[in-house]
Amino acid sequence: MMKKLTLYLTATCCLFSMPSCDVDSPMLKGVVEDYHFPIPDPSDAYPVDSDKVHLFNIISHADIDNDIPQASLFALYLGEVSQIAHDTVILYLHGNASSMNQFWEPVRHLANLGGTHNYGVMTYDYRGFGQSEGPSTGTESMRQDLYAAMQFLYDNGLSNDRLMVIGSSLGSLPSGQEAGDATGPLTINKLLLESPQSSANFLMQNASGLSLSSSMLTDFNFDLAASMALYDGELLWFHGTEDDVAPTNSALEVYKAHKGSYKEAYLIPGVGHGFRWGWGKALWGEAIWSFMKH
Amino acid sequence: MKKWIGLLVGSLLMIGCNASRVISPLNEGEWRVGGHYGGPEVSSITLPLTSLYVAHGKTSTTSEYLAIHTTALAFQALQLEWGQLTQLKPSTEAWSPELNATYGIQTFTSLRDGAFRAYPFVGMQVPWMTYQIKPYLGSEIWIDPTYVWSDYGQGSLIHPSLHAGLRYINRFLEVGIETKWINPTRDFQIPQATVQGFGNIGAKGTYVTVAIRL
Repeated sequence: MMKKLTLYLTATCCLFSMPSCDVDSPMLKGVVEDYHFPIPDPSDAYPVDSDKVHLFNIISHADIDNDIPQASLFALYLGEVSQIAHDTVILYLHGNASSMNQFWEPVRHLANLGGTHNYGVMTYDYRGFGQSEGPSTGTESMRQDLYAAMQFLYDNGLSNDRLMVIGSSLGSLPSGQEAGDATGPLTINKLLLESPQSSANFLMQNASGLSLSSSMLTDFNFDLAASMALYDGELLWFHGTEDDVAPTNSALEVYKAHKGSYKEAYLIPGVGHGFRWGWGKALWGEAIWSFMKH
Repeated sequence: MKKWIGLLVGSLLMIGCNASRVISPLNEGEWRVGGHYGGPEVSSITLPLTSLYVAHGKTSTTSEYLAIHTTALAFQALQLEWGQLTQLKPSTEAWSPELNATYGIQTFTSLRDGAFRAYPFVGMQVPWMTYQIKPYLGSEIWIDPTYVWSDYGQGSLIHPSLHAGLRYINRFLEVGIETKWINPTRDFQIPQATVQGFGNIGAKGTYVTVAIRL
C-alpha cells in the first residue's frame, strides 16, 4: 500500500513540476538579428529606390482572452506610404526563417511586378523574428500580428479591393485563417497560399501515425482546409510535388476546400518547399501578376 | 543546427513510442520500479524520450505495470500505460523460450484542452530465461479505434511493431537494451527531418531500461 501511495505521489509531483513546453518553440526559426536591406544596383532585376524603403514599428495588440501580451513588431514597406490610399498593396507574410532579411529579394520582386515600383509591398516580422518582440506562441499571437499590419494599411487609406495577401509556408497559417474568419481591420479578397501547411492535427498524425490531437503538444492549432471552406474571395495556390515540409496531398486538400469566387492552382513537378527558387523566379512572378490582374 | 531541429521536433512528435516494460513475469509479490530512455531514430539521432514505470508480480505467472511518459508530460500531454503480462508457456529447456502474452491500454490526455485518446494493445514476449542475460523477441500491435478522426483519411486501425533485446536481471536490478521496428506498415513524416526505418519503412528505435527490484 505504501509503495502504491509513493508511486501516486511521485506521479502527481511530476505532473505539476514538469516544464510547460510547446512543440512550436523548436520549430519556429525566428532569431534576433539586425536588419539588412541593401539597395541593389539599378541594373538589378528587382531594383528599388532608397527613398521607397521604409522600416518602422507597428503595434501588435494584446489578446487578453488568449493570454497574448502587446508586442512591438518591425515592418517593411516598399513604395510611397502616402500613396497607400491609391495604390494596390501586396501584404507578404513570410515563411519560417530568421527574419525579413531572408525575403528581401522576393519582396523587391513583388514591388516590381509589371514595372518598377508598380505595387506597394508590406512585410513584417512575427513576434520573435528579427527585431520584433517575441515570442510567437500560437496562431492567436500570429493573428494579432497580422491585424497590426492590416491596421497600418487601413489607417493609411487602403481599402479591401486593393489588398492582395501572400502567405508563404508559415505565413499561410495566419493569412489562411484570417481569410476564413474575416475579423481583421481589412477583409482579404485576394489570397496566394504558397507551399501551405494543412492542419496541425495532420502534422501530429503524420509524425506519430496515431489519431492524436495537436493539442497534445502545441498551442499552434490551425486547419487551413476549414478556413478555406469559409473564404469567399479569390485563391491562388502554389505547391511543389517534392515538398517534404508541407506534404502535397494534404496541402491539396486546402485548395480543394475553397469554394469561393475564383481559384487557380500551380502544382509543379520536381519542386520542393522553396517554391520560388525551385519553379523559377520569372514564372513565379508572372503567375502572381496574372492573378493580380484577374 | 538543422539536425537538432529535427531531433527536437521528432522527439515531440514521436512521443508515443516506448520499450517493453516487462518481458517475463515478476516473482509473486515483487515490485519493480524503473525507467526507459531512448526512442526512434530521427535525422540520425536516437530521440531522448523518457518514461517511468512500476511493475508488480500479481501471481507467479501474471504481472501488471503502470507507466507514465515523462517527455509527453513535459509537453502537457499525460500519457499513461497500463498493461499486464501473462505467461502462456514456461521455458523448459535452455533452447526453449518462454512465451508470454501482453495486453493493456495507452491513454493520452491533453492538459491544454482535455483531448483524450486511448489505444489498446496486444503483443507477445518470447524470452530465453535460462541465463542471467536474457535475449528476447517480441511484437506488439496498437489498435487505434479513433483512426477515422485522423485528418485526410491517413489513419489506420492497426499499428504493429517488432522488437528484440537483451535484459540482465540480478537480485537487485534489471538493465536492458532493446531495438524496435515501429510500424513497418507505413512511413513517418516529420517536417525538415528524416525518420529512419529498416529498409526505409516505418521507424527504428533503440531503448535502454534500468529498474530496481524491490
